[in-house]
Amino acid sequence: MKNTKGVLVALLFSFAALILQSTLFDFLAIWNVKPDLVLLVVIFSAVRGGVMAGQVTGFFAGMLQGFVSPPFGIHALVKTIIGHIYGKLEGTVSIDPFLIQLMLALIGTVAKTILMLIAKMIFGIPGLPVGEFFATLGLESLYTMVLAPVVFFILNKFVVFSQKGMETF
Amino acid sequence: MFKLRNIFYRQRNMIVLLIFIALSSVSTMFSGEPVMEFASNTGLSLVSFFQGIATGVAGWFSDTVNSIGKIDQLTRELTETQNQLIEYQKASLDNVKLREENERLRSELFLIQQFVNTQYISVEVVAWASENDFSTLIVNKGELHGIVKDMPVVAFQKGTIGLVGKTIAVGLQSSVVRTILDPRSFVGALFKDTRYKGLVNGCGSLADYIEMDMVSKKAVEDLTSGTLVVTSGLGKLFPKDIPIGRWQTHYDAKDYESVVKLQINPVLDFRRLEYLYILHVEENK
Repeated sequence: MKNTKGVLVALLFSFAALILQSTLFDFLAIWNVKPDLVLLVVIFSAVRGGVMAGQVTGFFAGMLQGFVSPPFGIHALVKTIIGHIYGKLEGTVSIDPFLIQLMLALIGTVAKTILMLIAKMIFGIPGLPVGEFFATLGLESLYTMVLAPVVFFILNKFVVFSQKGMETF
Repeated sequence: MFKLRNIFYRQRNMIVLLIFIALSSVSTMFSGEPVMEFASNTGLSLVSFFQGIATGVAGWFSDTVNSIGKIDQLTRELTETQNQLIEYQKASLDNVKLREENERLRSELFLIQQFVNTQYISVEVVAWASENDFSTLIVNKGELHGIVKDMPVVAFQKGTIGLVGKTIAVGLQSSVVRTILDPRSFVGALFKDTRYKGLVNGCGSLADYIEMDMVSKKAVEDLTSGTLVVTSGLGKLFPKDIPIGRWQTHYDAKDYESVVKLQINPVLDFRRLEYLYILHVEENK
């Protein structure tokens, strides 16, 4: 149960990230595109805390995100899967190198967007036109990548996981 | 039983994943349903409370930053406006200079039309004899420009030409002009309408009038206020019919005298003289 505290703190940060993302980043949006700060918290939680921490953080953070960005549930689905996949990296990838942080953010944003697209297709939810979709994806990936080192630096200070997250949660 | 628990324990990540996927899929599928909407709205109410706080804080920072930006913008606009004002002031000065130039050129044109056969030299007033004395003045041309002593000097003001005086001393590059305000100045004159003659004499630059003496008493009866006094041309120093001044109403006469002394207001404002014209009288004859 050592990682319960880490996951709860990560969820608090997810909530704060969600609030920031839906308020402050309205002012900082570039061509109406905002970074996905919640995704960065899920990635951090997964890579540091393991599969269970990642998917729990992803699910609940996604549920929170569903409150402000309908449809309710789709964010939870996507972020749970991402949390699960990134959790597999626990113990094999260090999140500290700058380049790794950028790569994690980039792959995470692309994966989230593709998963979201697939989920929307499955549930019959209309999405963005193709051109706009790729433009948004590119800009969002870049924006999230730029902020990743800052977000990871802050999370590193406050969110603490044990070395073997899967077993201790 | 133990075996089953062991399997569950080993596969717990996958089991939780499947549960979460199932829950989120159901939530997505039924997101439009009343139950899900209730949950969603309740969650939204909670989140929106914190969003309100964050928006307030962000708005405060944004307003503060915008205020600084606005002050900066206003400062720049003020600087631009000040620069424009300076430009307008310069333009206004240029305009004044152009107007003066235009007035001078018009006076020259008028002079050419007035004295077709008269040659003239355009000069500029460079100094007065002393600060408040408009009896004598100095112009910027002299002997080298063809000016000699006793040449008549005229000026153009407010659309009319007027007699200034005559040259009394000539240097190489400058000349001294005695104006008709000088008490030592005497000019043969007559009333333009009635042709009664007299002698115009200066009263000093402090007086705002000149006197016309030796005017027949009869002339006063025919005079009306504002009657123009011009040069008579007698004595051949000044050309004929150059305006000198206008009679107002005042005159001074003694019963036993047959002539009267009249006060004349000069047509020129001597304090504002800038450009003058020195006439070659010999050519005019």
